[in-house]
Amino acid sequence: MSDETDRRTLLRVVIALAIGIPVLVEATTFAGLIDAQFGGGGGDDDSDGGDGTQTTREGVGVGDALPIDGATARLTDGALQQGDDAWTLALTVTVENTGDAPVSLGLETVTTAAGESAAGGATTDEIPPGETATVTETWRLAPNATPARLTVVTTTHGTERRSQASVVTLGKIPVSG
Amino acid sequence: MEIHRYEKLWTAASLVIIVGFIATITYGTVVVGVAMVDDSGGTIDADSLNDHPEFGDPGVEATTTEDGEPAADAYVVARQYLFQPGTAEPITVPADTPVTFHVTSGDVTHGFSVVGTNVNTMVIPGQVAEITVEFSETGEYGLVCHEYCGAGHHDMAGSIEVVPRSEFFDDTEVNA
Amino acid sequence: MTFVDDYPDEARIVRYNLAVAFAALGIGGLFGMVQALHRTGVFRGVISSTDYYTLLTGHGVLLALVFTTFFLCALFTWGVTRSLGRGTVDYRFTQAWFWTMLAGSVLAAVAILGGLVAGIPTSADVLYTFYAPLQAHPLFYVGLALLVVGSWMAGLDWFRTYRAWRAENPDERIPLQTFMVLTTMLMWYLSSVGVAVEVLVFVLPWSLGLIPKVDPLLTRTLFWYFGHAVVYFWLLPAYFVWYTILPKLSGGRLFSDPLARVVFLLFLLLSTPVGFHHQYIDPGVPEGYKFLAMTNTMFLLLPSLLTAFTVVASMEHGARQRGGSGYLGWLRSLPWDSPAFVGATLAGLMFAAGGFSGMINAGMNINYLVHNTIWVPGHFHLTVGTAAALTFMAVTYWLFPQVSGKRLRHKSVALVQPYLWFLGMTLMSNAMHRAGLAGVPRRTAEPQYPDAGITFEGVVGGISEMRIQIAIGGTLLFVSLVLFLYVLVSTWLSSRTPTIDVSGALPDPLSGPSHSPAVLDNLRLWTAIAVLLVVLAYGVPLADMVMTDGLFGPGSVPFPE
Repeated sequence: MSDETDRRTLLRVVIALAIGIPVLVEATTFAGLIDAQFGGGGGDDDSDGGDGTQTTREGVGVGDALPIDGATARLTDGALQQGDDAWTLALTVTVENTGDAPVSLGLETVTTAAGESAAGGATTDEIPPGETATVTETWRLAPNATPARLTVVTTTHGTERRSQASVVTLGKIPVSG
Repeated sequence: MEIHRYEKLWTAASLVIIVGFIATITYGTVVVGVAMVDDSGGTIDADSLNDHPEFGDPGVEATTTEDGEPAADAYVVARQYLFQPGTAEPITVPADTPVTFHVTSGDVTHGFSVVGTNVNTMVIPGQVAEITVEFSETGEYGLVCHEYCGAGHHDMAGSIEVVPRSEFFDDTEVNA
Repeated sequence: MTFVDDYPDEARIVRYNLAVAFAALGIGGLFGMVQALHRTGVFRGVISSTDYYTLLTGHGVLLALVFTTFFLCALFTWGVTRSLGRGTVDYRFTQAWFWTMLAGSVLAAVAILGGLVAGIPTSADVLYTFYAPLQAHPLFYVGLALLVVGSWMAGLDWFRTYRAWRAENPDERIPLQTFMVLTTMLMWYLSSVGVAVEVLVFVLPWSLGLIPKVDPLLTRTLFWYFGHAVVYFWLLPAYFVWYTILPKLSGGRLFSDPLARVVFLLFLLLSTPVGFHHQYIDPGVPEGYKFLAMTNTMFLLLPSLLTAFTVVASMEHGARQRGGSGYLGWLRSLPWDSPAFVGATLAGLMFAAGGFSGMINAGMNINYLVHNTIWVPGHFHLTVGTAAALTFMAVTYWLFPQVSGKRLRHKSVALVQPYLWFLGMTLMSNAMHRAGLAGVPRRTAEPQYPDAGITFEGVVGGISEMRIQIAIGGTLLFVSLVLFLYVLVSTWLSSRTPTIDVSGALPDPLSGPSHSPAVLDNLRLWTAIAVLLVVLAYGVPLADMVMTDGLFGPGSVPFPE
């Protein structure tokens, strides 16, 4: 009797492991695939038929904070305007001076995914501590360009003038027109 | 012949799935325009590649499409156990441009696969594989041979370097 | 009375075939584990990377050609004899095909393994597909030719038995098991023509130096003419088990005999004209023929989907006979403590997964993402590696006592074995599929590429984790294989028992052959249609290849020279 019970227990353990582990492995894989498809990087869907390289766009999108030092900056507006000869990128950054000395922030070069660069240069005036200001710039890019990186220069106007350049990875900027 | 009701339903569902699959593949072919590697590259004499006008000096050339748009032709020879170019130096191609790889073999059957992309073709001696693609991002991609080609098969690899369009066309004269 | 008492000669031939099959499985399986440890980098101390390809050739030939063919011959000899109720027409002819196949297998094996041993001048580092201009020693090709010719003779043997039975039973429907054997062999004759031409007309004379060059594309196309249909040569014996034996093991009866016949006829029609789906990204083949192969392949899903229904319906019937109830509760009433049942069922379940990844492979333009990556072995280890191999091992637990008169020994080991196979295969195949999506190539001794600095990025999980999973899965599979061989050899070496505890009786199906139209048994008609479909799929492309550059061109010099 106990032999039979032992046998059945062994069988139950074997079945539990032999079916359970595969189910676990496959379920984990499936969950990972769903996550990679819909979860990674903002859930957008850039699928060009061409080369099938899937890019996960983790970057600063409209409404996100810019990961820079020296001030608290947020990308408050961004748009990519389509055109026949060129596409125009417009970005607006709102800066709040959380430090002790006046700061200014400039929007410099934009680089596209295809490696092209376009120069900017617009900058805020000197922002007193505790105050907020905005700056807008536009860049002329090639048609179908994907803006990838933005160079931001933060300048502190204290006893010494110090500038710091940061390269910010851009997320998906809405296309209009 | 008696067929159970559930079996009829199952068969109908199976046929729907099958036709659905054929439809999606056809969509990919006809609408999205994903072309399969075919015989458009023609045949070639594998034992005299060195005398061939293009494969005798393999590399990437700037060219234009029929409409006058910039394009590139990459002539690559696969041999045991390297790609020419590709292994000793990367295959440099422009981004955002139609690039046609023309690949052939000087000896046995190889594979030409750009890791992380759908650039994937067999390379058969006597045949020229043609595949036209467009890279939308710059960067470096790995290139591997995925068809067993002899004892050194696992050492056969290289790279593709995708550079900004302006950089490529500045450095290369257009070969119309 | 058991089979071995009723038909001692046939039982003996069945045992011989099983012996060769499982010896090949053991050696090939050992190679597999060495390969799994080597290519993942877990352990490279057994062989050099150059010798890896010798092992890989051995693995493919021993498992996909020798093991499968000999097992089919064992199963079909038993099935024809049993279902027709009579033995072979000429036992010496039966012996002749067995020895021909064995001689061929030994020659091919020696040719391959000579690559590992310095003293033997043969080598065949060409892998199981032997693509020209890679060239093997002529003995390799002679061996394969003899194996195939021997299998043709086996088919002839079964047709002769059938004809003898037919002479005495003019009005009866072909018994289902014999019907399956005959349709499988008709499919085999039609499809093996391709590889026979490739070997006998081109590659063998070329290896003997009689022809200087062969056309790699033409020979490759002839191989793949055969190369897809051969997988059905492996699968149809498994289907034979799932249709005619598994229902009884489940405690019930086959749901429908007519549908089983339809399924096998669909395989006869569609197995061969799909071969170009193995050449989706070959240059030299126009896209139109690839597209046609794609649609044919998608329709080839139908018989497998139909089989899923019938097999599950039959099992449900058996479970309810055993007292099972409820929507899904009947599953628990199945005999999960019967090794034969468990193996065949888990194999069928795994086949569903393999079918799904096969659907991806069939998707012409999707194929760009998976071709020649390790995804492909991930797929076929589910199908031939489990659906076929595990079913074959499982049914042997049920069949061997009947053909030997010996009770199965070590039943608890036999019970654990299929579960372990299922676990090992899930781990290994899951990781292979994921690694393939990351671009990791197949058929490669060291897919790491440190010098080229290539990184593979997995969509789900990291590459090192996938490697370890493949190594663990492969090892578990080998352990399971050892357990199987242990049970089988112990049983073989034991003495005959007065009775065996297996019943060989197979109950009639719920819906029998009389419910099906007689035209299903008109094998000549279906063969004619099958031939027509092959001509449509291959006639023009092959003619094209020959007319461009001739029979032997464009070629290149053989390697090694």
